[in-house]
Amino acid sequence: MIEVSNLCKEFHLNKKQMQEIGVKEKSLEVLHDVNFTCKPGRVYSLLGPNGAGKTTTLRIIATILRATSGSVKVCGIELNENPSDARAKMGFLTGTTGLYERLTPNEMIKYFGKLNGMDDKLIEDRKDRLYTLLGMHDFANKRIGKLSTGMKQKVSITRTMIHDPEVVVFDEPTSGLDVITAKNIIELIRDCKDQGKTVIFSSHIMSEVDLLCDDLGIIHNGRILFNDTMENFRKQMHTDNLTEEFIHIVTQSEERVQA
Amino acid sequence: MLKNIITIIKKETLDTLRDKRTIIVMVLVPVLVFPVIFIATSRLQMSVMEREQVRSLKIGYVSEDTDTRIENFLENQEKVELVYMDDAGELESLIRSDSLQYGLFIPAGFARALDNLEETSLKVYFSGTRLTGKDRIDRLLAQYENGIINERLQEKELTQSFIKPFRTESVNIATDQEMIGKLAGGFLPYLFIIFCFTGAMYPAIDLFTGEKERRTMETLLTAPVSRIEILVGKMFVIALTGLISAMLAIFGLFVGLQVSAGLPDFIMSVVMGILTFSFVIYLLLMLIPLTIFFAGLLVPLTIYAKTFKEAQSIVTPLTFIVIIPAALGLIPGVEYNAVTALIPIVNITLATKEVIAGTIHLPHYLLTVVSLVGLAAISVVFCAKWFGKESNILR
Repeated sequence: MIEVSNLCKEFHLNKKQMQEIGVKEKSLEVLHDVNFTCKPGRVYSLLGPNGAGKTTTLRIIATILRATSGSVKVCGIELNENPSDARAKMGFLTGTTGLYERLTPNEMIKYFGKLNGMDDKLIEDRKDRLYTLLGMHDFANKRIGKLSTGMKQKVSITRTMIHDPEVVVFDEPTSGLDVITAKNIIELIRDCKDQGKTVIFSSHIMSEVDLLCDDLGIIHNGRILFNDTMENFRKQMHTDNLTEEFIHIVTQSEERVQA
Repeated sequence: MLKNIITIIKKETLDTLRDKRTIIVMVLVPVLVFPVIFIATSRLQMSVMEREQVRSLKIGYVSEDTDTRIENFLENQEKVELVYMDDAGELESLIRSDSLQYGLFIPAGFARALDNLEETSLKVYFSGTRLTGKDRIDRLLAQYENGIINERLQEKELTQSFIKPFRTESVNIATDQEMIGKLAGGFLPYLFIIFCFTGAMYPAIDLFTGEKERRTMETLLTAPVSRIEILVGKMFVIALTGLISAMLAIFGLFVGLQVSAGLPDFIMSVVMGILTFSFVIYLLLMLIPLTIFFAGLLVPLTIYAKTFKEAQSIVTPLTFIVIIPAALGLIPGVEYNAVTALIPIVNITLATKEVIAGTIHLPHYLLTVVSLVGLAAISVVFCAKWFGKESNILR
């Protein structure tokens, strides 16, 4: 379970950043009063255009960033109070996740298993199951730098799932991946849901959201514009097409801000 | 906490040892640089010297004097060939083109002046760019001059003591070890300070900026380990590589000295005698906090940099900031006292000189170690704060 309440995030800008973004204020509010809940056994999708605040929200959930105010609880653990315990319950994967190219998949998985407090036997058992599932045995001892993009993504998946997390956070997981590799990710998200895990993923691709999600949050300019089930989203649609509806919601929000 | 730090250290060590760039800078360069330099220079020097010794001296000879005594003297010397010329103007260009090694110009009345005990002179042409300078011709002329002096003394029935009334007998109260320690001992710390820093440089860039650039940092930050554990683990590996690099440089230096020819035996025995157990302990007690301090200097910069290239451009100038105080300790007259014992890097150069010379003042040494440990601690605390700032990590 992920519970996000009144989440706000401000970035402090230096002069160079102020010039780059074209603002005069020394702080930039990127999230404003964000609220949503992701439930176990369901997939929550955070949908929004580029720069909407999706990655910032997921990075706060993953404890890479700290919230300026508000609260985030993962499996009942308040992130500000006990980030390490919360991290132990989570797996985090992005489409652009880097890997240690000089290590082998075996070495990298063992490293993250150890950091997650697992003993050698548990790591071996779990690794073996994931390798079989993803067909990784053949390249488990090759240097990661020499693997193909698809193989690397499988290593990333194993790294994310090695400690069998209750909550899985995917930040634009299929971004920049080929169709076959993206399919692996989509299958992984489905598997996580079937196993009763809490899944949150961000995307700006409506078709992907339509395929996977049970609950939907639309975010734009750091504000949640829609937060409900996918079923209810479909019910209240003003257009026939999901993408059109998404654009309609975002455009309406911009018009309100301008007015 | 310790378990996580050890896991990070193991992984980072493995990762670092597989980085070719780090291996070159940390292992190959320090181990090979001195043996290669020493062997190459000693071989070159020896071959040049040998060649010069066996080579016939071609001396351009221009004389306005009718007396031929000096000419006969030179002609009778082994491996000397006089090339008679009419004009002294030609000598320069022939020496420059290596057709002649030296030129000699004997003015008119040279021999007569010598016979009349009058002061006179001759001109020697040579090129200062040659390794041998004008040693060989100086020796020949000195031989000729001594012959004349002896003749004059015999004529007047005088002994050598007439022109050399007393001899000076020097008694050096410093031992060979003290001499080497004070005069050349500063070179050793200068060396390991530089290698300690450069050895730590690449791992520091790789372990922090590299992680950011390869986007593995955010993956690591989502693991259930605290940032201080990550920092301590990584800093340990950086400090360790610096330390290993410095030790390998010293090892390379000793190997280089042993394989190179030309050093007098007494220097070799003193140099080899330096490597005692107590010397290594004295050195390590200073080197360990120094490497941590260096890691503390490098880490904030490598955390701040976005790319490997940017990190290199920020960190490389820092080498000069390290070299300058290291070189300060080499300046004669800069003494190891209660003040210099507290100046980072300078104190290490001076303390090592004293340790090598066997004249280390223990309270000053302790002051150095304590100040270095303090600096290392401050740098770790600063790094922890810096690493905790998300604006630095996700810049």
